[in-house]
Amino acid sequence: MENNKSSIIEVFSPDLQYIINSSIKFRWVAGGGVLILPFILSFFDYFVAPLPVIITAIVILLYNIVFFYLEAGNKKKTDVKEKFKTYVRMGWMQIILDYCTLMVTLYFVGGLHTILFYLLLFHIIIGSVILSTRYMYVMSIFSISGFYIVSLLELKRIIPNYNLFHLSNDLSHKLVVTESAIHFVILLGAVFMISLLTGRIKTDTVKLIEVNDNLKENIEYLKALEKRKSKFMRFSAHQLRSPLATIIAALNVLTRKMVPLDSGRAESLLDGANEKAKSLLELVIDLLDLSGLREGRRKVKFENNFNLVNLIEEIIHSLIEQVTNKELKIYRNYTLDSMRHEYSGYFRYEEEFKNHLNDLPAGTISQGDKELLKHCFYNLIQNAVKYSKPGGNIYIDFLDRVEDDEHDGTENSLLMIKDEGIGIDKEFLGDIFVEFVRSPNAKEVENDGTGLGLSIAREILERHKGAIGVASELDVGTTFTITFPVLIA
Amino acid sequence: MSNKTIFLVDDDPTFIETTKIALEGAYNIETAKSGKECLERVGAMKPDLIILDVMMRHLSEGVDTSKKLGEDAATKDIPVIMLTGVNEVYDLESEADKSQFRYDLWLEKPVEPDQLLKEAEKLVGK
Repeated sequence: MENNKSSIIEVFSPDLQYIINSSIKFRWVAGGGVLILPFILSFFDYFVAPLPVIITAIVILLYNIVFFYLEAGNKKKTDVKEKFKTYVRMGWMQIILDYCTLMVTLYFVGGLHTILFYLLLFHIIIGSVILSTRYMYVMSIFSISGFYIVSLLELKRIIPNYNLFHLSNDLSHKLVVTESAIHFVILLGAVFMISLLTGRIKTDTVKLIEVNDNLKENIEYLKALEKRKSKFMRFSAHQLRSPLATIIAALNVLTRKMVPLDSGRAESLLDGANEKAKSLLELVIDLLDLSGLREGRRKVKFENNFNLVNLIEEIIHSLIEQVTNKELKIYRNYTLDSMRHEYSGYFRYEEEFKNHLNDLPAGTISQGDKELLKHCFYNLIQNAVKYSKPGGNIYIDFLDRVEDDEHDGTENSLLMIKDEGIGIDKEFLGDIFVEFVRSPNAKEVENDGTGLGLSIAREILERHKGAIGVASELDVGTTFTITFPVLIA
Repeated sequence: MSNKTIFLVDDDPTFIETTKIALEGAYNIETAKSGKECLERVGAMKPDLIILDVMMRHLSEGVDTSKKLGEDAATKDIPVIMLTGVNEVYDLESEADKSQFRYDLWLEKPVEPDQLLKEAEKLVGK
């Protein structure tokens, strides 16, 4: 927003500078014109009181000198906002001073009879560019009414009339009032039309600037996206190429029978190639999942009632072999506010938990794509298992209703998965959700990970308008925190 | 068989095994799984050729190792073959310039066993 405003100033500032600059030039001519006006008029045998008009002309020229130097000083300013402010102030001073001197001039060259009052039009037009639409109407009505009031005062002989036509002041009252009223209406009509037009141009300009700014932003965004995409392509290609190179190298050695095919070495090569082929398939599946989610090919199918606790338990159950092999303990703590149930005790083992599972209310429902959420939680719980040290603990905390402080009324579900594993290198922690980014110590545990599991998890949560965060310390452990709205708007 | 030693450094055991099979008929083969291990053992081993994988656990592990080998007077004259799964240039993330580190030959994986043997012979002799 702040940016938009400053860019509007940037666009209007040269405009304003131009107008003030040209009005100063115009004022030299106008001041000069007023100076010789009494002589021109007397040449045509009009009667003019020369002294007040000449004094007014000198005043006009004097304040124009001041404006000239003020403008020259302001032009050099580098602070765009400050410059703009000064120009606006100068604009206002000009409008007020010009109006005063114009009225004095008009009064002394005939007052209510003068046809020079059409000069007010110039004044109003210049004003209309500087002022906002509302001020423009106010100024126009004020300017014209001021002249009309002076005319009426002359007519009522409250102030003297400087008559151009050597006429006595017994002009028909009726005629002058009607004439002035017609002029008044014509002037007002003209001013309103001008105001409408300039107002329209101004709003269009502001809209154009906004559209332009949005376009610029979009182009930047698209450029960044394109760059990200091509980087993603490059990384994907490399990730695919690496295991393929190993498979081909192993097959090369085997097909040339460089080692006896029934030897242990051949077997280990085949095992290695097989592992690489499997990881290649995993990678391809992950890539397809991720691109499917990103392109929207994989639609998010929101289901309303499913049991998240059961979902988590299913995942733990599917990992039970690795959990048992590494002698890990998975503690779960489910706080189910929606059901007014709190399980503050930790369940250490599958069996221990099963007894309680029967007591669990059938609720703990949530809204979301069951399959996707399972994929997301699976990736995180599997990581916790994979990167835990043997005999370590994993803590899974689930709270089904948490008030969101930022957005009133919305409730979130919160899942925390904490392990006491190898942790994530600080250097990589900030980028851990970026595709293919893996902490070097993770590669030590498993060299062939796809580096896409966390990217997929984050993508799924974003589809659920949720968020994922991570805290980790090398060799101490990692905690992933997931929140997502209970009801997805 | 020659008494010359080639030092293979790669974090992928299967790839090490295939490279070893390609070269072991002609040379003594020593292997290491990381740049760190390579630097620790290279002084005592005094190999005649080092074959380095460019990207191991760290993206720049191979490059860093090659730089360190070049800085040490004891190892700076040992020829180095860089093996990589990366296309053409080493431009992933770090955008490192090939001219910034030393190597004698840049090969892309997979390399035919015969070709690798030939290239090794060119650098260290039979």
